[in-house]
Amino acid sequence: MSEATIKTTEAGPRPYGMRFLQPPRRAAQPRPDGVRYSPELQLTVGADGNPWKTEAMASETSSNNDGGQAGEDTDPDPY
Amino acid sequence: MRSPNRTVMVLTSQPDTTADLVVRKLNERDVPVFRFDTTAFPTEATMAAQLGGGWGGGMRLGERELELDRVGSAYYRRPGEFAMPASISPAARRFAAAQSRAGLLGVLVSLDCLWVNHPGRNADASYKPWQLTVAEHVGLRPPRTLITNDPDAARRFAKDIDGPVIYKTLAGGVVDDDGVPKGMPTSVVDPDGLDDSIALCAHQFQEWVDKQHEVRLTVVGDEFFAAEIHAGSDDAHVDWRNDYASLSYEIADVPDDVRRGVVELMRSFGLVFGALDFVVTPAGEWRFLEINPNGQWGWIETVTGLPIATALAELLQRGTTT
Repeated sequence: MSEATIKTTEAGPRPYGMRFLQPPRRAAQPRPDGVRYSPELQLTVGADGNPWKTEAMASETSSNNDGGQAGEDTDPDPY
Repeated sequence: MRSPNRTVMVLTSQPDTTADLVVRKLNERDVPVFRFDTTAFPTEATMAAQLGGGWGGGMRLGERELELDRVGSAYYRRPGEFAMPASISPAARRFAAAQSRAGLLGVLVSLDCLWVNHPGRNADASYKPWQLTVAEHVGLRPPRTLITNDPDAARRFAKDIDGPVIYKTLAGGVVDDDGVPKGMPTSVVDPDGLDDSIALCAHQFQEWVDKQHEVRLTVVGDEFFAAEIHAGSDDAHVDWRNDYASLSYEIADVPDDVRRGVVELMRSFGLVFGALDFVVTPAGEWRFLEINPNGQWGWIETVTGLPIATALAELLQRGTTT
């Protein structure tokens, strides 16, 4: 392999596929369906009546926009 | 037949609005739900499990308790990484995280309950080359594919295809040098750009399959929910994630031969849930692209009305696929 034919950055050479990296979609555009779930839907109350923590309820960080030919948005999986 | 009202355990992050849809359906059915994020272990959650005819004991999180032998099903969505106390050293955090992962998840995944999906099965099915192998075997007609770190092989493949070739990642979760997670949509390859940087890792190249539209097929147990995705721009035509605003959706019927192949594929991987992507060619042929074993489905339900959350709640409440 010739070093001259590999595109390099300050951090060193990058694999071919990395040239297709794009900024996070979430930052680039709104949710695909334009949906903002209501606060009611964010309430994850168990059947025993104990509410889940409330500080996350206003968050819109769930990524509902994965899929397609390029594969899933992969969150860290502790497994 | 399992006894009614066994607990459904939901493993996911707190702001997971898609899981909320299922939890709400379970609440409407008065099904006990124990939702937690692995991030809470061990700082907020405790577990004591003792072996004896399976794992007995339980978990506690705040005011809530889970009896392990009461778990009828588990919904494995998007739990976070184990979070260790900041007060301990980096080496101690690494040790504690590894022990916590092996201990907590080791107990949970061995419970006698239905997993949607078992994380081990998810992990298996996340290998795209394996998916393609099985898909080909069951007649789902994936595109011609090359996986290589050999630049010459990539160039030969592009030449042999005699048409457009696309590059797509083999694994997600790309974090750039700036520390920002980034996306990588399917991209049409410039044959002149197939340089020696291909040698730096495995790459996946496929023939471009001309499409009328794509289909996102969500499978829950033995229920199929298929949505046609019609691209309204050139960018979306290559990868519909490029331009959501241009997309339109229609509910689709699944051809019998595709249905049979998908059932076989799911069975092969031990999956009870899956989000599959297909290209439908101008001639109407369905071509398998991939299966996302833990794929998103919330927006499909929103834009089509397909009752996916209800199907998941029913499956989790039932605790069995039969």
